[in-house]
Amino acid sequence: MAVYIRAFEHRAIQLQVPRTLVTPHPMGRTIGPVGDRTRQRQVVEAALRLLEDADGPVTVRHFTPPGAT
Amino acid sequence: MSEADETARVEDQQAAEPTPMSMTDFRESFHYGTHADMQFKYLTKLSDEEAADAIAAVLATAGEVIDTGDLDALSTRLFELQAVAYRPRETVEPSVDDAPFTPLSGPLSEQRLALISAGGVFDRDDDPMGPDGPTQQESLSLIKEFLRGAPTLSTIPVDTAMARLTARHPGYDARTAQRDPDTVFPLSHLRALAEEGRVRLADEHYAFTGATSQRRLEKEVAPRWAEHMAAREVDVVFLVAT
Repeated sequence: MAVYIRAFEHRAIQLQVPRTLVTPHPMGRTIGPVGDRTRQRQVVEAALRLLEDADGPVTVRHFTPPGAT
Repeated sequence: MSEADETARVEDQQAAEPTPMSMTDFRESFHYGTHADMQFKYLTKLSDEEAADAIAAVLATAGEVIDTGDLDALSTRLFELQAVAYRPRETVEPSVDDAPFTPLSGPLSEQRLALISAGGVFDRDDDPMGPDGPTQQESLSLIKEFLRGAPTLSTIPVDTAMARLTARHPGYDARTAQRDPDTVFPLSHLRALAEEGRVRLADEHYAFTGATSQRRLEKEVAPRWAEHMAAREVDVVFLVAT
């Protein structure tokens, strides 16, 4: 089983990845900004929750930072 | 002055004057050209007008950040512009025939998880391109060779110190990952979560350079990698794109 983290959604759909977490970070910073360990940890935890929660193929979830509207 | 001399003088003058760079040439120069910059290579995907607006927006935001110190605003602006540039121009259709899905077979803490990053991360003492491998900057001029070649899988033991890791990738600015490998290879976070009992990690984790022959990756290399990981009883793969 797999979970996939990337910044742009359309490639996940093209590849039919089982579970994808889409993050709002510029290219090359998929998990989060340099040195921002809080954001990086939030993204990793969100991906693990997606692994547990997804109940069917091509599940795409957008990461939203806690507290963001 | 003879006519020939005058002609020569005019030609010399023209040769000495730089040719004005058009907006099209300028935005395309970020894509492996004279202004090669992997953070802004997307400008080549925009029209001249869109690129002009994008550059103006970045400059305006940068000006505000000087006063506000709000770097997140600049990061958000850059992401928004990238999202526009890379948006699909047509309806996205699957490029593969199937959509496999394997449900989690038990608690995540009991599954053996391996990290795989396409961010070109490797141990400084185990360069997949050999001890004299190109620098990040040098790799940009090798983009065509990368895109024709098959990727090499770097194996990174679970207890590898993050300070030992570096990165090279001709498709994005890997200096970010050189500064902080966790940006595309979050091994230190997964180790912390393993210590807390949230996950169980495999002994090996992996990275490769995603700028590679996608056909060879799909048809030749990835199946071998999958067999390797299955033999090591990996249950879950944590994939990170750039």
